[in-house]
Amino acid sequence: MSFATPKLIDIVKKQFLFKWKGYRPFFTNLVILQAIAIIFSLGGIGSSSHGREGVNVSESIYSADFVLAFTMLWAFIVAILLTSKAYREADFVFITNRFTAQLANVAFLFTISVIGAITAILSRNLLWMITYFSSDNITFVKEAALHPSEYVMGGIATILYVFLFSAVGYLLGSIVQMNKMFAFILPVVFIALLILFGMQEQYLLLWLHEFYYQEDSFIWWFVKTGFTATAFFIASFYLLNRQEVSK
Amino acid sequence: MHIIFGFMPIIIVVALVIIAVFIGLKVGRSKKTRGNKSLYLLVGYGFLLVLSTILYYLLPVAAEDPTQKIDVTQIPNLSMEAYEGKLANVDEKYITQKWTFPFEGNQLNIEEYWGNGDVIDVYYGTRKNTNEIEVLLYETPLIIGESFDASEIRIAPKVSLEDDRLLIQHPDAGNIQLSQFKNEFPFRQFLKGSKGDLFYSADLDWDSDYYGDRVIYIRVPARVQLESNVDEQ
Repeated sequence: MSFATPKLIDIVKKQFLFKWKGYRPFFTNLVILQAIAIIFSLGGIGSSSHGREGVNVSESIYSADFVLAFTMLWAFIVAILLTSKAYREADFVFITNRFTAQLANVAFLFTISVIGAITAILSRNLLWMITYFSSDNITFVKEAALHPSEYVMGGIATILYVFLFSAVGYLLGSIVQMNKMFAFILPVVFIALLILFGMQEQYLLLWLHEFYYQEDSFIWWFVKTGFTATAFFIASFYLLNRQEVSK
Repeated sequence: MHIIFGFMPIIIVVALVIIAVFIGLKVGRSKKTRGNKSLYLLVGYGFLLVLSTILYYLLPVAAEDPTQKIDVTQIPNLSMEAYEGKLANVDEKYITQKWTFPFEGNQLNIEEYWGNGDVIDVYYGTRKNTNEIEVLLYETPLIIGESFDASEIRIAPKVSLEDDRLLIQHPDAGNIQLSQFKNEFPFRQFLKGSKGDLFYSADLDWDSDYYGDRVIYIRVPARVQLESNVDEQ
C-alpha cells in the first residue's frame, strides 16, 4: 500500500498519455472521414455560369467546408464513445477517480479537436492540388489572402467549433450512460423537435445559426462558444459522477 | 410529409452517427485499439497536407488582390460614347486592335457575319485627307471578382477588305472556366459583408463582376459612300 498522494495533474497527465496512445485508431477514422469529405468536395460547394458581352463564364467554388463538417461529426462521435462503458473501464487501470478521468477526457478531446481542425484547414490545399492537377483549361483564382489576425481568429474558431461538437457529443453520451433508452429517445426527440419547430416556422437550427454563426464579434463568439462547451462538460461531469463505481 | 423529406439530410446524419457509434463500440471492445499504424497514417496524411500547402503557395495561380481592385467607375461606357459620337475622345488604351486598309474607291460595302457570340456594335466615322480605311476595336476590361482581369478570353473579330467589300466576322463567345477556392466558414464568419455567410452562394460573386464593353469603329475617307448589310449606326 502506498502512502504517497499523487498530484491531480500527474494523474490526469498519465491518463491523457494513456488515451493518446490507446485511442490512436480514432485518427484512422479522422483520415478516412476527411478523405471521404475531400472526395465529396471535389464537386465544389457551389457553381454558377452565365454569359454576356461575348463571354461565357462558368465558375466552380471550392472550400473545405465539408471536411470541417465531417471533422466536427468525428469529434462528436469520439466524445460519445469516450463516455461509453467500454472506454471508461479502461481508465481504471490507473489510480483514478471519475473527476481525473473526465479531466483527461476533456484534455484528449481538446487535443484531437486541435489536430482535427488543423488537418481540416490544411485539407483545402490538398483539395486544391487534386483539382489543379486533374483539370485542363481551367483558370484557378485564389481568394485574396486574409489578414494575419483573420487567420488567427479563423483558426481558433475552427478548433473551438470542433471542440464544441465534442462537448455536445460528450454530454449526449453522458445522458445515454444514465439510461440506455436515451440512445433511441434522444435522436427521435431531436428529429421531432426539428420537425415541430420547422412546422411553426421557428427553425431551431436557424436560431443556433444566428446565435453562434451570425455573431461577428470574435470576443463575444468566443465567450458564447467557450461558455457552452464548459457548461456541457460540467453537466457531463455531474451526470457521469452519479454512475456507480466501475459499474 | 414534405417537412419530413426536408429534414432527410439531418435524419441521415443522425442515422450515420448511430451506426458510427456502434462500430466504434465494437472496435473499443476488440482490444485491438493500440498500435502505431494509425499514428503513421496521421503523420503521412499530415505530410501530404503540408506538401500541398507548400505547392499551393508556390504554383503560379491568379489571385484576387483587394489592393489591386479596379475602379470600374473610371472605365468609360463605350456604347454611350459611340452613340454620342465621342469615341475619338476615349483614351487610346482602350483600342485593343487596329486594322488599316488602303482604299481608292468611292463606295464601300460593309458586310457583317455573325458568329456564336454577341454581336459587337459597329459605328462609322470619316477621316479627311486620307486614302485609308481604319477599323478600331475598342474594348473595356472584363473583370471577375473585382480584381481579376479576364479580358484576354474574349475573341477578336476578323476584319478584311476584299475589293470594295469590308468583311467583318463577329467572333464566337469566349469561354472561361474558373475554379475559386474560398475560405472555410469559421474564417468567413468574422469577415464583413456577404463573405460571412455560412452557406456560400456562388451567385453573390457575380454582383462584383464587370463585363466591360466592345465597339468596332470604322473610319473611312470622307468621300466614301457606305453601304451595309445591317442597319447603319
